[in-house]
Amino acid sequence: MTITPEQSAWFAETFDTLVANVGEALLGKDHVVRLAFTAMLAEGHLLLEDAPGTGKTSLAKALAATVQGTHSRIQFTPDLLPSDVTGVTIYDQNTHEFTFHQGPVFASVVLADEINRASPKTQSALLEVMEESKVTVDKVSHSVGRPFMVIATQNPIEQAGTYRLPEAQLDRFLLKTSLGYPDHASMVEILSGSASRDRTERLTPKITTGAVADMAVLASTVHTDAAVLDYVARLCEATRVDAQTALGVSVRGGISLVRCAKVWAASQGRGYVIPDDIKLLAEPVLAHRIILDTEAEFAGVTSTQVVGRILADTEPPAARID
Amino acid sequence: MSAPTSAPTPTPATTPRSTRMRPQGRRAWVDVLVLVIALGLALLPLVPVYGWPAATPAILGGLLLGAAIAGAGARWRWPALVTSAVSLVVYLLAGGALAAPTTTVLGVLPSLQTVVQLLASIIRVWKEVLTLDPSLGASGTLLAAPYLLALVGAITAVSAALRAGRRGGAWAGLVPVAVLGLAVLLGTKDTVLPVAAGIAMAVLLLGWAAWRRGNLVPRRVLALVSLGAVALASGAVAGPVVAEQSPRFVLRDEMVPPFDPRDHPSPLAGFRRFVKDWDETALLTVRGLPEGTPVRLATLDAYDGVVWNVAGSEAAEGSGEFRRVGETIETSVRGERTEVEFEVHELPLVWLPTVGYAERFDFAGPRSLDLAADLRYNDATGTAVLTAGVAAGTRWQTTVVVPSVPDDEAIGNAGTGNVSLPEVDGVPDAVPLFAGEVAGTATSPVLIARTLEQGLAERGWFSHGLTAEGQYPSLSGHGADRMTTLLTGELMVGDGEQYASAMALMAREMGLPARVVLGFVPDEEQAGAQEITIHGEDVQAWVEVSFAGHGWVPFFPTPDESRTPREDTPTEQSEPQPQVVQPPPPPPDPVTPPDDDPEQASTEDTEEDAFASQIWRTVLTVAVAVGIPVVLLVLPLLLIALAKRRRRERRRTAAVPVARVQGGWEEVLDHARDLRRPAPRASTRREIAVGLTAAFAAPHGRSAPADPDVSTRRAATVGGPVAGLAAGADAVVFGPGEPAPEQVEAYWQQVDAAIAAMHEVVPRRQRWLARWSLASLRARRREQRRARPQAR
Repeated sequence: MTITPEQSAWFAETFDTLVANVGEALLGKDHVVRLAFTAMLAEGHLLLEDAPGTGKTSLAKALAATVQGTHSRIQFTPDLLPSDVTGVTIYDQNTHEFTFHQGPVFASVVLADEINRASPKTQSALLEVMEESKVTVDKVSHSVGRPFMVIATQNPIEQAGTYRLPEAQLDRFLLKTSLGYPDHASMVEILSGSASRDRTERLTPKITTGAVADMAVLASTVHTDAAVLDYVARLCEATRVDAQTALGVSVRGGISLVRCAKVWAASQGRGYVIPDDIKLLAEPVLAHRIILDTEAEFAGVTSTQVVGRILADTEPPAARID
Repeated sequence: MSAPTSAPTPTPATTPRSTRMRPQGRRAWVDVLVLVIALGLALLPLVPVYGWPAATPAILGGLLLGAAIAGAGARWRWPALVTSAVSLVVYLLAGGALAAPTTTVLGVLPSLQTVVQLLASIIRVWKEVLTLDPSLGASGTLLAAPYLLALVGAITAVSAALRAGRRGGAWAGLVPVAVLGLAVLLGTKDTVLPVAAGIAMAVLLLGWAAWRRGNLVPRRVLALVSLGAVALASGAVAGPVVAEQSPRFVLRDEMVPPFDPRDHPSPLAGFRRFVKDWDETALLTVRGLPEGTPVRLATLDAYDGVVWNVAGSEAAEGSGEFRRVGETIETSVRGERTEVEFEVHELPLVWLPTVGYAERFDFAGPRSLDLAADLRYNDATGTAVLTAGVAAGTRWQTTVVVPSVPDDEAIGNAGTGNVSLPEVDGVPDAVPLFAGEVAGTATSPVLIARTLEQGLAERGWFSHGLTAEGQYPSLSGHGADRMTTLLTGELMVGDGEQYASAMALMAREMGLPARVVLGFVPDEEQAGAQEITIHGEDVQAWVEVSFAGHGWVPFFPTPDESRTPREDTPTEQSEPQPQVVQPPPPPPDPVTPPDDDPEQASTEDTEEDAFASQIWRTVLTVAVAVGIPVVLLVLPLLLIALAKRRRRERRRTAAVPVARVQGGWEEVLDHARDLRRPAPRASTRREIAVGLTAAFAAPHGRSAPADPDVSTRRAATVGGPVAGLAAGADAVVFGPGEPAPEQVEAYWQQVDAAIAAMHEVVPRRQRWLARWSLASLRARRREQRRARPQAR
């Protein structure tokens, strides 16, 4: 079954509504917002890395506020324990039973703020939930439900008091992007409206969790030509043989790219993926999955630059594969 | 020569670089070698035209230089204009040593004359080659023909082979075939190993083409056998064309060279032959010859110290010109008009007997049309020739005007005619001395002429010098020494040849415009008869002098045949003779090319077939002379246009609808590339659309100021359609299913609209250049090359 033109049109329209809603709180960041929704509809998680005060938390909150559902926030600190994330089993004296108290991770949209300030042990607890969509405490599994999306923010790695996320765990984030500073006009507007402390508070939900699940199903039916898949495979292979990488993109990375591309194509009202979708998403989807060669790292090369170079060197498909 | 290796292709890291580059480099060398050898074989028919020593450097040099230029052009991707410019410069620089050694300094350095002549040769040499008789050697710039064919052929063939795709490059094999055709046309009937050369060329080119197109797989026995069969069949077909089984068609045979009387020996020098060899032979029969009128064979007005000869057209106005004639001939001579009929029995010369001044010639018999085409008539001297010679049995009727001969009283004090004649050369001193002695006291031009005539006729003795028949010894010829002998010798003895020559020279010395006429004076027994048969013994030479208002008046200075010296006449007196300084031998005629078109068609309007065929022959000649260089210049352009059209049709009619849409997009990209705005590499269609829009919106040329309004307009004109095409192609190629035929058709209409929009916003010059640009063809070849290793 393939998405019909009518369905893709509806998808695009809904998508635009969601983006516009978040846009009210987060001025001038449409592209990042689209990427965030793409991660949500591809049923993945989003990692925002940026300097403090650029609106990471606002984005996460606005995203959560747009979707009708539960959302929670965990502020990661060095002394945060895994059970503070997942929840604990407590003995109820009234019932004489151990009952499970759900942690903040049991929500549709979870904002994990400053994830790299917590200890690796706590980080791992969250990342396990992200991977498996369930919490196992005392041999009992508790599903976190659908949709489930973690929006993690982190300060740039070099900052003091941070624990670097291990590569294997970084791989679990579907997309990694940054907000950057707003442009001049948006800045002026933000400043003029500074009286209202939090713009996200005014947002109303625009979509039910059920509809989000529908859209995710719809997006997975977007047609992807073999030539495009071949292109993705070539890109992934290129990251593996590149002289400046120590470790290339995993298979999961390639799958993630295709999943995101499908959502992105549908959000443009298209029922098929084109190489442009791949090109556009390659950097946010692949860059954080690449481990650079030590030499390249010393030379100041970033993985974003490597992905950009590979994109420029790899010929996108122009024809179907016979 | 630089290695014409293919453009360096970026190799993915997975493929070792060395395994990829080498076969392509080797393939390029094979291409060059095969094409150069094939062109060399194709040019073999030109070798007999020049001879081996002269032709070899021109042909080999042209081939190697052409291959080098093409190789360098392909290596560094010169545009067509640069390649043409380099070719021209090389043609001029190397042309001196290879094709025009006689015009160079030290045989190598081209002089200004070399350059000028080589440039003119591009147009002129073809006709010169066809009209001059082989072997031509290395004189002038005649070698420019094989040199130019080799150079242009090699540039065209090698460029096509190196720049076109692997399969398309095989078409370059047609160039040697075309060159062979031209060489055969320009060549002679003599050939060099025609069958071997033809088969070798066919096998070589077919094998190479098959190899280029990838059909040559050794395992495919069937393919090899069929290839061999085709090669043999072509050899067998081409063999007869090249071989002499039926006479080869060469343009040389169809070319009628302009008649140049200097190509023929002086008819006056052959005087003795008439009286010695054809004495009693009936040469021709004349019917209706007016009484007292001689038959004219040739009029000679140029003397060079050795012979009197018929002057060429450029010698002097009074010498007239041998032209083709139409149905009738205008003549300004007044006199009696009459019909005369001739029949030649034996007269193996080119000179056609005439009477008076002809108004028309009507040849009889089955060959009448050919004869009319061969006829050249000189209305100034009343002389006619048949360029192919006068065959026995030639019959014709001619309407003539016979001018009346005025007597001396009628001429009176009339001055000499205002006629310019070629200067006489090498006149011995005895001539003016004798003339002054005889005619020093004459008072009028006509009296001078008459006195000279009588002086010779009365003082001289007559003898043909046929000692075997008992005649008094008399040398033949009329060179300076013979004239001296005649005029200062103990005994003045000779025949018409000497007396007419002597009188004409004396008359010239006295300032009279005089010329010698060779012809026949029928003997008196037949005078006035309706039908007169002329024998060799009737030959006579006389002098004509032009008087104002009276035209040419004949004088007969030869003594009567009965005035023969007796044996006892004292002859051998040992008196010392004045030493006569012999004039230097005349310089040999320089080999000068004939004028472009000396045979002007008559202004007479005629519908006769003969004349029509003349015109057609002229048209053909001019067409060939102009056509060959034009074809050489236009052929590459034509090939480019054909290749592009073929590419477009292939795309438009591809088997799969998706491929048709994709082909439409590529067509747009190729047009953009030809317009010097190539699509960015490693880009998706949408990125390309954006890039192209920016490229077309940018100001043309570096100096042009950027006008935002113009840029916006251009961006809108090109951007919209191109972006639409990009999205459309993406939807079809990456979307599910196949497009409907109408969708494909609509897409191609958009393609045409987008191409038109791109052409619209560029200057006209770029549009024109784009049409002949090889950029897109070359780029496609590179892409195919890149794609091939990946496909493996």
